[in-house]
Amino acid sequence: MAGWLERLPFSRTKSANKAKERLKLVLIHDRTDLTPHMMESLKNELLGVISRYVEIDAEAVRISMNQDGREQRLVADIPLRGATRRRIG
Amino acid sequence: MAGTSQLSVQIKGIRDGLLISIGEGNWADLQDRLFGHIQERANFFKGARVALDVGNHILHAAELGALRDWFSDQEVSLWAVLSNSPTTEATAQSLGLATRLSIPKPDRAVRPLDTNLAGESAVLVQRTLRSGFRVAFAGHVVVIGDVNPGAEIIASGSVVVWGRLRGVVHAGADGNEEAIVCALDLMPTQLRIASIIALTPSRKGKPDPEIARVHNGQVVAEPWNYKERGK
Amino acid sequence: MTATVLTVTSGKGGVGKTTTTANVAVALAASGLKVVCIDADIGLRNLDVVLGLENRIVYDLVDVIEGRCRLRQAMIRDKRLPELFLIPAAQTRDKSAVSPSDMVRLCDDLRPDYDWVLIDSPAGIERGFRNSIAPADIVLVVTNPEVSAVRDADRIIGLIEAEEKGPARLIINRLNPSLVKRGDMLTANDVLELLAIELIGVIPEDENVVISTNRGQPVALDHKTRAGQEFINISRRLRGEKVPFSELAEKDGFFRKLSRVLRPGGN
Repeated sequence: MAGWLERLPFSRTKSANKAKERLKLVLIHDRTDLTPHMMESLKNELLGVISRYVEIDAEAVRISMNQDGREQRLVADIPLRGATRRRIG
Repeated sequence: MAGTSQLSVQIKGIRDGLLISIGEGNWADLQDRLFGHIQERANFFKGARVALDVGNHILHAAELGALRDWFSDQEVSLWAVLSNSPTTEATAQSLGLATRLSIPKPDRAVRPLDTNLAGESAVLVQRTLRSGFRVAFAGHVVVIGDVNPGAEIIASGSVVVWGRLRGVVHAGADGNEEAIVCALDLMPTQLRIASIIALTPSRKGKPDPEIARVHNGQVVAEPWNYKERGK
Repeated sequence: MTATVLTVTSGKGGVGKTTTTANVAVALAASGLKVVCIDADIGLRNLDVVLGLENRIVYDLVDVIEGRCRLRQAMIRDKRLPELFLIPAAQTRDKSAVSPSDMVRLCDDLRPDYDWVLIDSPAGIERGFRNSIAPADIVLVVTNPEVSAVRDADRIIGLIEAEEKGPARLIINRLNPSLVKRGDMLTANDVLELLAIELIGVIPEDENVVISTNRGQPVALDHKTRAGQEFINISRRLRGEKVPFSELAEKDGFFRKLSRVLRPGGN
């Protein structure tokens, strides 16, 4: 959806855009009572748990809080490091 | 983020016992802290009359019911829950708890009925009795005004409410089964005459004046049929 | 006749709750409905002065609740609109003078005789606000297209849900078209996307609002003003009419295109 927004007539690089981005972050953190610091801890612990089971590509991990109407979603996109071949036989 | 403040549970003495105030934060954590605090001083609290101010916390029947049961297990009498939240207040009232500490100011206090007739003594209360207000009188009690849920009237005689009766009423409290309870709108949360407790059925339609009296060992409510009064 | 009780809240102060309450009340009364407004602030009076009724106060909300006067004695009748009444706020500092159930009982007393009861809530999230939403059938949240107003509105929307009085409906007040065009003010759609509740009105910045408060003549009495017209539209939407949002909101380009996509609740 974001792509066609940028093609609309007037400039969105002014302060309103900044306000909107800041508000998105602030609202999610207000609603979930999670500070950015706690988000960091959450992310690290989550990756720690997952890596006990599979190998992950830590560089490519994306964990974010998104707004879905009045609800919040924690979305984790965790690529796994190249599938290890199983030994056969 | 557990509150580390010592202020999250504050206790002070008030005229009618103790007032415990709970601050902001996670309810479960605060409740644990409260329970711990009371258990540590069990002897001090035993038999105490406690009002709990939960501030902005939104509590439902399960939480408040559990709280009240816990207090009663500790032999602490929880008689009021104060709250800013409409949800909590409504829950407290439905559990029969008072939701304010109010004591009337002296100039609005109870006034005895001035009568030159040889009769029985009665007290006249000319105001609406709000939650927490308690009238106990050895005689009859007449209220001009409403009696709101959470208010209580205890009389050795009869009780007449010229208004809506929605609180707790105990007439004939010294065992007199001749006592009656009258109201323009009889919808008490609890009604007793002497030792007999009444169940108030839900009323359909417009309120009508009624008299509750003991008949054959049960409390029955009859409409006040003024046309037949002469009989 | 059973009144609908509508409470106007905001979270942040100064965003236009009182102006909104006064003007929506005036618009409803002007269409022939019987309306009572209640100023539910504890300690500060505002609604009386916006309505121009400030010099006729004898009794107030706390007098009624504490039984010092009858309900009808505290109700001030507006001389311009004979079906509009005001119960003024008390100037007491005792925050516990009024409880949520007091407000519920008061509104129950009013319901049989009026069409609408409008409650002007104080700012904040404390007792005054909670008292105000206790009797509500509908809760409106007023915000400005500005960072702290939107943040506070979000918090209030959450509390309204928690007190089981939701979902709230949104009024965006003081939208400034030239700032929006420059990209220096959040658009109505931005605010709607963030707060994700149903929109019921967008009121443009209009100097007539200040002028009307100066005079004690609510702007909704004059449908030729932009703000006045929008308050009238809000009153019509509250009554179930489908009134399209003003050309102001459409002109900013986003509104019509995005409203189908971003309507709260998806789909």
